[in-house]
Amino acid sequence: MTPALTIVVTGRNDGYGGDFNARFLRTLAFNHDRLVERGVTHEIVLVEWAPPADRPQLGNLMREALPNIGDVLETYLVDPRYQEACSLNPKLAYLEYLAKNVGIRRARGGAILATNTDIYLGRGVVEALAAGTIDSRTVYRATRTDVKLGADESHVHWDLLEDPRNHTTSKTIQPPLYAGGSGDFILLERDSLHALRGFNEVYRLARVGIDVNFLVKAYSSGYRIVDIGSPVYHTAHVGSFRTTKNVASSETAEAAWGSRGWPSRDVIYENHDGWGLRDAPERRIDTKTRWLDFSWDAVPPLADLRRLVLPAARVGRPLVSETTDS
Amino acid sequence: MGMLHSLLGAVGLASAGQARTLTARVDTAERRATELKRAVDEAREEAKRWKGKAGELTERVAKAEQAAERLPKVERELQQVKARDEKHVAQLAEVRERMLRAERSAALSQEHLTATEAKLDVIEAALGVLDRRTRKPL
Repeated sequence: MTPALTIVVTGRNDGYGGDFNARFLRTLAFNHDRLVERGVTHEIVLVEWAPPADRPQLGNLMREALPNIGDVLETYLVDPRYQEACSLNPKLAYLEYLAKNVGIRRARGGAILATNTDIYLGRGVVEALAAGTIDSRTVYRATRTDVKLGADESHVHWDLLEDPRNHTTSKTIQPPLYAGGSGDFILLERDSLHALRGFNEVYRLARVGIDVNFLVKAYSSGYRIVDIGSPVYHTAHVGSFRTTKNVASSETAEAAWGSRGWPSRDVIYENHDGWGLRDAPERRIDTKTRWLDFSWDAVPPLADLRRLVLPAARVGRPLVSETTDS
Repeated sequence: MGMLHSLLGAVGLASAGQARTLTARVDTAERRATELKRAVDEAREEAKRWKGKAGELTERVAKAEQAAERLPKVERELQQVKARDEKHVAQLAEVRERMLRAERSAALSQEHLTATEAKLDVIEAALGVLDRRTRKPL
């Protein structure tokens, strides 16, 4: 049966941000339970990009801790050689959006939500998903509210998340792009997202700004971008972009986010046909886990300059450069 | 009475009644003369005012005539100014249009420059990758 929704996340068991696995476990359980409660059929696609060989696989850890998600959690393990083969920035340690594209390409759901492993879905978001009103050629965005460090996350529920006393900041989102914490919530109907060919795979020097760049591409392609009307909640943690962007050393920053000054609002992309490592040979490890073997056939060209293009203006819509959207 | 008047008149005299009558007539004539004199003075004043007004009007007429004489010239000058103004407006519109075109060109150039810089980033990065891959096996 085709699920109504595929949630695409990426991560690996490398202790990112201190307690990565625990944070992921909490959001995974929470989001799954809320979707089940509201009858939203879903799958969760976890892409373990270049997983460390000497540690247990993240997907297995999640299944062990949360046996009830076993049926919905699909894991793709991506051969570590893809990181080196695809990267144009040797300092950038994790090609997050290439990893997400792997999941997006293989998602089966009618709608796809690209999000992060530390994001709790808001009440209104789940209600909107339950209502099933996902229009084609429409990007749904959500405000991200940061839940402060130290908030009790052992028994998370919406009342806790919605309590303003637990909030630190909210990323306000404004038309036309509704940018701001975009990587935490990008929801589209599957075919519409596939028509856009996922996130930028041409400019592979950066991790930061790729999410906004996707919005610019969608906007330039004539897609609507709307606020879904309810926030998602982000648990601030050590090493997150929000808490670290101004204090990290240039070395650390480059490793985490890559080139930060790239023109993500001015130049867009047209991914090659094999985006999302389409041509990577798949090997089934178990019913819910697949390994993507390395093959040069799946690696995009090092430089494919014709695929970096200028965004088009659309009749009746302001240029991105003319807007004050953050 | 008539003979007495005749006799008095023959010697150049008049009776008292005649004298009173004459005196009264003289008084009346004097009053009339005074009134007439005043009327004449007033008439003179009036005439003087009218003369002043006439002078003013004459002056204004003269000025109006002068202005009327200048009118065709002023009209010609006005037409010239209007023509120059229209020319300037047209020139301004053209300059504005050229500026808009220049602005669009500059913006487009800037966009292409940005895209070119991004492509150069990719080329440079790709060369770096190739360089590392070449060095590694050696």
